[in-house]
Amino acid sequence: MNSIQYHEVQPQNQQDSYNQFNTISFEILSDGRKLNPNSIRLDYDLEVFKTGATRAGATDDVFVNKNISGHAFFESFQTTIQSQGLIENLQEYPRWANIHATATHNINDFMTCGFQAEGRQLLNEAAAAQLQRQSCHASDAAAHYINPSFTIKPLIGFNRMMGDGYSFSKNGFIRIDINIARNLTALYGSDYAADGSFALKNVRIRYTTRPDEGSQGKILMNSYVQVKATSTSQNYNVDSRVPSKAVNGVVISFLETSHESSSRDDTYRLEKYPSLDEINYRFNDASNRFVTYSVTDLGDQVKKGIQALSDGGVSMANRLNIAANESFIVGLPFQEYVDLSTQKFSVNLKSSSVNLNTSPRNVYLFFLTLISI
Amino acid sequence: MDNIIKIQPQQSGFVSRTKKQLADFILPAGVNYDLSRSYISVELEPNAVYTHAPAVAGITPVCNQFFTFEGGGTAGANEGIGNFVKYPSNAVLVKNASAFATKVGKAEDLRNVDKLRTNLGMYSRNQMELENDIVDLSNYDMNSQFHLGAEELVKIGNEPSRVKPHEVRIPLSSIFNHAKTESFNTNKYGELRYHFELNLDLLNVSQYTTNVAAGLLYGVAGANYSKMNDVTLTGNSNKLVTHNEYPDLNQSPWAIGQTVRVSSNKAGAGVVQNPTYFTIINIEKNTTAGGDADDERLVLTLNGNWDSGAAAYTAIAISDLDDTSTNNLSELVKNVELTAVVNNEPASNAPLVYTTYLSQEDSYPASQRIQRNYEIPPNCKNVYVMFNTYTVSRDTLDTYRVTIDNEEITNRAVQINSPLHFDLIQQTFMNAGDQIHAIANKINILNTSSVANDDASKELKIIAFPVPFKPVSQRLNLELEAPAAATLLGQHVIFSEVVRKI
Repeated sequence: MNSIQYHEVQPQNQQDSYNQFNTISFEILSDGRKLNPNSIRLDYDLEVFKTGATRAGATDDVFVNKNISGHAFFESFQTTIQSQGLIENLQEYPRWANIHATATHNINDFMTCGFQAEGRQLLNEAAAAQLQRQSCHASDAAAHYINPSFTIKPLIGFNRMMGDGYSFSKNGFIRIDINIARNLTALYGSDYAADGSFALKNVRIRYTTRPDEGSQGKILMNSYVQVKATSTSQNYNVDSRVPSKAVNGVVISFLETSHESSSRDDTYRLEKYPSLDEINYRFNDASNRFVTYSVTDLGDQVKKGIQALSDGGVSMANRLNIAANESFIVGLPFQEYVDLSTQKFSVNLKSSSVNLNTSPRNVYLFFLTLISI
Repeated sequence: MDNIIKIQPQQSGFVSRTKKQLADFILPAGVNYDLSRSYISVELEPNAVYTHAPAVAGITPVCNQFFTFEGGGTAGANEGIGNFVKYPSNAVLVKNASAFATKVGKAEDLRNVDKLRTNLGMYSRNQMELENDIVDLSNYDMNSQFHLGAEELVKIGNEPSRVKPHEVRIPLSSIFNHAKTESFNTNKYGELRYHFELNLDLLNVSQYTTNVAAGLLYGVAGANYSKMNDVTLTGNSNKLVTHNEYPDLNQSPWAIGQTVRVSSNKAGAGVVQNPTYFTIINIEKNTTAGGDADDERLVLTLNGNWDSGAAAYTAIAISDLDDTSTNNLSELVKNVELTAVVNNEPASNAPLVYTTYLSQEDSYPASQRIQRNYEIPPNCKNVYVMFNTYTVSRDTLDTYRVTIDNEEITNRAVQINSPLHFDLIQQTFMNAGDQIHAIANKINILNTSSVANDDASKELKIIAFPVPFKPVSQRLNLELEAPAAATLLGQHVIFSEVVRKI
């Protein structure tokens, strides 16, 4: 009764394969045990069709975002615990995973076992190659495809937690509902047709527990609340009301609206906001003082976005990536927890681009929140 | 949230880089400052004058410029390391600096800040940390083929690239050790005055000028960046399709606003270069234009037709240009100001204890071996010896021997780059409360094509050692020896790190 135990859970709605728009539900319950913090992993095999029933072959240009790879196939995560109900609803999850990777890692970090298991790679070509593996041992002329397997550590609250382990005896089960991403959102490339698709097989969750000593200490989890808007003008204002009493920063990313769910473009790319001149943030701080924060320098805009997620470490947001329209995030660290549930948070984006009305941009705001149990 | 105060210098007109610039800032009394997050910002903007770029409405010409600092000496001159050193600290822009608080007098008075902070920074910051610093002097990816920095380039779409002022930040904590404090209470210490002698005259703008014809994507033979797809035209065309595929756009050398020339072989008549200069006005993924749509090639749209009539074109190549005739350096620096962060927490009454550096410069005839005596000031923790007149410390030094108050700190001469040498540096950093993040001991050179990074002559050479902490002066004897048949450069600076309390 003294050791760590490994558990594996099958989906409640067991299917041979899961496709776009499907929901996969897991219920995690280990009576008399405590969930080890940050131990939940999601395993699955992947099957990719470049068009109709035609598999993506070794020479096809079918890509997945190299920074997140295995995370790209899950549109959203909802986590419910029996004692409190829904505790988090992570929308636009792959974009969040990309932002998290961009702000907290350098591409060199991907050359570790943990990230390789998630399929993260240095180059798009490498990320593509792992989707379309073929056996070289066949004696016939037919193509023999191998479904690559991934094991990811989803960035849900239970994997970004600190404090005590989660006591199943005190709090009941954990339910995780996962919505599968759309076909044209998860994958892209010149060989990926409009009817291209993917399927997930053998989906399961693994986690570890330890013995429950009978008490439940405080649990704190990092999470986010996402707000999406579409910018169509040079002087664009986003007003958000965030359902959280503890927000300590905001990270913003952009995507040209026509690139969303396009078979040729990466929907999760963190694109640059065109000719961004100034960002103004307006809200009341913890002392209820009205704060206006204006950031004009490009480097400063990006640096503050990175700081909002991580004050230390290295990032992928260098100028080379920004010019290539990837790894661009902006944002603001609040340096304290602010209650945004009773007030509006405003972001004003000023740009000198004359193309915004014809090429509008999606604006994704991720408010960094704290959940306590 | 931060409360910040922007403070303009007492001097005005930071538009000239032709002479050293003095900048004095006065931080008013009555405020508790978080100096650890306060910084000087130097705003830079290149002013290129273009020779060939055609005027295209709405398009700003760009030519892959980046900022450089000439502290390494001119390329090919006596230093030989050129102007492309990746400086680990923006404090390289500060030659001398002093801090004066009206109630306690001079807090710090530093000479050769550029030399001190650059050479220590090469040990305290590793390559990844350098790459990560986006608000930097030369903020582009090291070892990348296509430099960025002074311009905001756009590599896909039709949004024009642009030239915007770039802010270089010099944290006060990267200059002064007293500025590492989060609470500097000017109610207690009085008005705080900073005096800086800046190295603005050593700032410059450079340009990535190598013709892309010789460059190869991932080094693959035949994958020349300049190579375009063959095409058979039935009418005029202003579009070109790259031969290389660019799933990773940051591998592409092309940007909106770049000036290029086109050469091609029309109907097998021989390769001819079009005399007209063109500007790239649009870059998109190859879908329908120009041949094979089933790929990740890019379609470049020029501001005019590059062809000379309907025919089959082969051997199409474009080249980027060293297009600028001059760069108006006198207007390179747009502004200098100090941003002070206010600490809203109650100020601490505890005395502020920090270290500062006293320096002694020495020069001597170039010889193979020298022996010199110096005085180490009281309350000294560490001593650093840095060589030559340039920012980066280099010399032909081979071995050294250090004696303090007639007692040798090692039982044998210390060989440069030996374990003993690194151990002394490690002990020094530990004694200073700092950590070593890099022991590559090499000067980071940006344009690795012209100066090999693995060249032994580009080794950083400093001597650093801890000294017994005593409230009295100590005698330092330094023996330096170059390899046989070589001579020392004949100049070094000794920095003594001493403890202060105010």
